[in-house]
Amino acid sequence: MTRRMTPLRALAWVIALVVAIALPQLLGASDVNRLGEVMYIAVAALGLALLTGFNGQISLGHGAFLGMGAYITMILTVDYNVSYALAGVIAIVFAFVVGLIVGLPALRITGIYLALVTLALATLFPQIVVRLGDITGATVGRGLLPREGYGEWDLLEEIGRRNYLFEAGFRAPEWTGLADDQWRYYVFLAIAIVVFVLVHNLVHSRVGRALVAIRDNETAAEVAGVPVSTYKVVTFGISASIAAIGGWMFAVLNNQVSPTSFTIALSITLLVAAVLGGANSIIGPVLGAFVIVYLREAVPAESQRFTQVVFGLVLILVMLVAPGGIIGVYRNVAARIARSRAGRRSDSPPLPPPDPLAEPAAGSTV
Amino acid sequence: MQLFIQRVFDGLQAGAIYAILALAIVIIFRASGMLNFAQGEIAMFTTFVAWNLFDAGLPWWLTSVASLLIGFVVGAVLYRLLIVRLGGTHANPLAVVMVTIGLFLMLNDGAGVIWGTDAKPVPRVFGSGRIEIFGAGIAVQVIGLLAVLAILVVGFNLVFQKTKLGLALRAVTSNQESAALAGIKVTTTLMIGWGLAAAIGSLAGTFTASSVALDKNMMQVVLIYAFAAATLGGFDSPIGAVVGGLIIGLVSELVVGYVDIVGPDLRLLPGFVLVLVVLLVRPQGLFGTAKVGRA
Amino acid sequence: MTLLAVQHLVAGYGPVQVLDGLDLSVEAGEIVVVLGANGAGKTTTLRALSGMIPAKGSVVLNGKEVIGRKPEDLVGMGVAHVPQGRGTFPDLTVAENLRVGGFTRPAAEVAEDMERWFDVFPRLRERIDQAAGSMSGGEQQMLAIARALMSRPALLLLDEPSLGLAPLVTRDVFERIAAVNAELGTTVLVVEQNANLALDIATRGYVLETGRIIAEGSADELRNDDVVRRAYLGV
Repeated sequence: MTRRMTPLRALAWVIALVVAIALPQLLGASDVNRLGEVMYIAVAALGLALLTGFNGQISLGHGAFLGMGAYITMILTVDYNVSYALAGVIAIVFAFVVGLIVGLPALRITGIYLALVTLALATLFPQIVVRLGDITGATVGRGLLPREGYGEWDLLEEIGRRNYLFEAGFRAPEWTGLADDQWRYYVFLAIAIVVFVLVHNLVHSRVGRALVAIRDNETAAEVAGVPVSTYKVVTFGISASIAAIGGWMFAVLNNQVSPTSFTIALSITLLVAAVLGGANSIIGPVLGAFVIVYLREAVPAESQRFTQVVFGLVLILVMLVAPGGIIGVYRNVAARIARSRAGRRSDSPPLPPPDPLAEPAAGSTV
Repeated sequence: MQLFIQRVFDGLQAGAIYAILALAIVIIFRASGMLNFAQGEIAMFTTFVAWNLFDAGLPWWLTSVASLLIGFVVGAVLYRLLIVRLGGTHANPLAVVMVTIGLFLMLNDGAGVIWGTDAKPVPRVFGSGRIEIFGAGIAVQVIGLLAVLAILVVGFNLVFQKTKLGLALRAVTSNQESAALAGIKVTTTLMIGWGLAAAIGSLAGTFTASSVALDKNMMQVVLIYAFAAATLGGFDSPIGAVVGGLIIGLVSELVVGYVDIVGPDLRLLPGFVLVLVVLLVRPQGLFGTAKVGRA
Repeated sequence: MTLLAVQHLVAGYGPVQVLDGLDLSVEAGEIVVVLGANGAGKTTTLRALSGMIPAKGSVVLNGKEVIGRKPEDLVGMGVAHVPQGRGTFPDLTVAENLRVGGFTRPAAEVAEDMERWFDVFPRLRERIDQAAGSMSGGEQQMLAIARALMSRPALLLLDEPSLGLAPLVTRDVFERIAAVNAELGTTVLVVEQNANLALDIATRGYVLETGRIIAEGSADELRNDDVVRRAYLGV
């Protein structure tokens, strides 16, 4: 699976998997649901990381794609009795198409315009949702219990305490003997693993290398024969779909969608998760998601309003000090250890300023 | 007819504010090739500081001037402390975007923490009088705003074309390496450029607060419109920023007013559709130079 | 009097070390040429001297150490560098280019010097309001040199002035350089691939190969040296 699967690494992965599987059995429902939240953020952030970290295109609107996935799932399952699986597929395709539409005109103009277009998308999304109120339930949203502007924490507690569910909920099948939250968790885990493996394989394939080449030097990639425009647009579409998967997970987890859940704050949250963890890595978004979710937890209720300040500060500090995020730091340390073991000492003049999204050193597998 | 005139001036009022902020964005883009996503929030923050001074007893016009100065300092310091550390003009544009977004978050939430989330009423810069134009009562404020915009454009031109600072800024934009070799202090020059941009942005904050009320989220939509204006006008063209802003203000107001499908919720849409259409036909915007519109 | 003394200059780009201990010196009033093929390190040398890339060793100009200084300080020390590819300001007019060149000088001198350089390079006066980017290569080279001279430097650094220019134009450029040196006494250090024309105007020269000086001498000595003739004069 990974490039250098040493026995040690394999063991680490197995342990991680065992822990992941065991957790829902050991933790209470609200903790399990929180892990579910980590997972949907991680998946969406992975989509963003693929686009930004590996392909060098920026998106400030992935919250909108997540929202699209969530709304489509909710509407189809609640109003049209579509199965969750089919709803998910439709959400993926829808987001992919929208991603293509957004990514296409951005090709004609400098990359920075993409940031603006996606910013507009993120801002417009809640407004469009409200406008299409008939389908979407406007500001009240769709879901079991219409609510307005609550914090997600309240709902997770609610799910834990609730002892009834409507048919529209994502319920554990009888034969599993699992509680709903546990069943959801395992489904999420399976989906997340599949998505991560697929992205990992993509990134380490020839196509993946081409994407990175585009990020580092578009003109050179073009000259080398890479179909730059096609790859960029398709990558944007794929990245949007992945975010929509995260949206599906959101809908399943919360059973409730409202416009206030999918504002630009969400897009920024995903960006921070990806950047903090390490945007040019696969594991990075997972780490970032953990930090984000549990950071919010750690902050006491009165100081909740400081969250954005902290996010902003984190973003700035990471960019200045450790542009590769947590994984970047890990890679640097690992590389330095490897170098000192090899006994080489570099005496050359200082290097140019660090490129935050530069290609990781060869041989790294995360 | 009256309603039309009213709408036109409403559109011009909004458009003038977008134009001012767009000008700030374009200055930075021309000088250093980057986008400052925190531009609007800096404006919001300085306007809040001005309000604080006003609340403490200083006259509004004085505090507005103070906000300009504070804006200048913030912009210059931002460049010196953050952007230079990222590599100056050779910094990865994505990194700059992320850092300025980080600043955006800090300022926005910070403002909420310091001043709370209630909107603060703020006096009109030019008073509350109205004058009659073709039968419609137009606020003096709007006329004053348009006058300020005109002065800004003229002043901007003067500084850039006729002063040594302007020459330095243009030289740095044109060929940074040669500018340094000619003895121009590049970092200092860019600091001043970013400072000027932020000061101009502060004006947008002052007027936005005047036309609605001062609250911490007021500049977010303005920023988006300003970006749209800069895109429409051409990212390296100051005239483009101004014209773009006015056009977008007008179009948004008139379309929302006269086309029913586009209700007030979708206010952003007409502007963006316009920008998209222009970009497909002329990627560098109305007044931009070809190098901005790279295929 | 030794205007420029370079000792053991080491410089490169990141892990790639280009200059491997370079020694050269330039006396006031001389025209010194550094010959070398592509990749020998000619441009790197000038960039190191100008502080555009980090470097180690000793570079003493007029008694002051230059290593560690920023390019912006150079003009104040009496050095003007015309980079490879001319380095004009394409969006600025000819007049504005010259004014930038004289940025650190008082306005009266700038006006006076602009007049003088328009006399020396009449083509520039013809195009005074034209954007520099729209001029021909030769005209841009003249403009770049004039711009550099606007700061009234003691030492002029020229990086491959012949690059991309037709032979006749190049000869013209070199003649002007020689004239400036003769009239004003401006010391010139020029790095070049085109040895013929460069040696015609030079007092002394060095030969640079893979980051080190492998030969030096007067212009005549170099012209008659077998190694140089074969490698650089195509004889």
